[in-house]
Amino acid sequence: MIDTESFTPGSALAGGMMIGLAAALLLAGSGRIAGVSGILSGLLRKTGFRESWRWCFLLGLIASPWLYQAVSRHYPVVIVTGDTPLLIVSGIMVGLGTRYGSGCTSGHGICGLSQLSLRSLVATACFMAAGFFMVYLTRHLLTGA
Amino acid sequence: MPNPNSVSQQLGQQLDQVRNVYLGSPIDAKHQYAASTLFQALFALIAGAIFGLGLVLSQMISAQKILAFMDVAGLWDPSLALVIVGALLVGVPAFLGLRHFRYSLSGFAIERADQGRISPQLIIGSLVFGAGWGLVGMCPAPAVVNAAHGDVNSLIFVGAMFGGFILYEGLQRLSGKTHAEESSCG
Repeated sequence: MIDTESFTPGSALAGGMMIGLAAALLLAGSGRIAGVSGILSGLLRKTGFRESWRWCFLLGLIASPWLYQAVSRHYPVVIVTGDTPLLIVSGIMVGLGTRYGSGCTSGHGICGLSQLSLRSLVATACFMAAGFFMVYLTRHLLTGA
Repeated sequence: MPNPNSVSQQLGQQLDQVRNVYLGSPIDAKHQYAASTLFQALFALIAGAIFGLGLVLSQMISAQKILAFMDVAGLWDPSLALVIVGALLVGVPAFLGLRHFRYSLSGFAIERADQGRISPQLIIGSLVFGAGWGLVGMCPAPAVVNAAHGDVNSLIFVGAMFGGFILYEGLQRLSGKTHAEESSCG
């Protein structure tokens, strides 16, 4: 059943188009793929002046919530719940998984699919399916709801 | 017989030449120019900001909203699907159009990311990532935005995620692999 109260089609579509525009701008302007897990992990092993673009992309991301607040009074309600061990396990799985899978939601889901890459479609199907399964497990199977 | 693809490729080459006139000649890995690197970084700064603004506007920074998308058996919030639709509406024409260009506006070659193979690592890695994503509802970009905005839970998540990156590097080193065959989508 669709949760009509939470569903925000307008801002989702508009926000999605901005994300697509950002990915296109990074490729056209910098020649780079906007895969956030790759950009961040690259900070650890690729150093030097030539890798400045990575730090700048990160800086843009860091500035974005403050820019948003400068323009709009309605910053969305952000709810990230979980006790510390769960957050750590989840973070390690995301870090490790995106490296072995060579991409995350942005790299495979946005850029890869934009290139009509079969490889990215397979990766996206895998992480979506695993996400759906994990939520089904934690919200229904384990709790009996 | 006229081939539309070759026509657009010719157009791409001509546009590459126009670009060369205004921004200097293309550079390869051996020749690095400070101006091009700065241009590249400037584009990345703007792209990162627009990317983050899109995440905030679409509320993809809220783990609750991500989990509500994945919870098809409960009250389902399809917003995430529309975010991807919106991104592809812009991304597909842009990425397909950019296939006809060899060089970006900053002069660096345009990266190709779809050349790797569908390996067991790709599938297992993506499954592990998806399971971790479904545990809390955070993936890399929203976590960074939230951490920058002062959300402590997201900050812990980002720290652990970097731990995962480092763990990967260590495991690669143990198994004696290099980054040679890296065709990454991020």
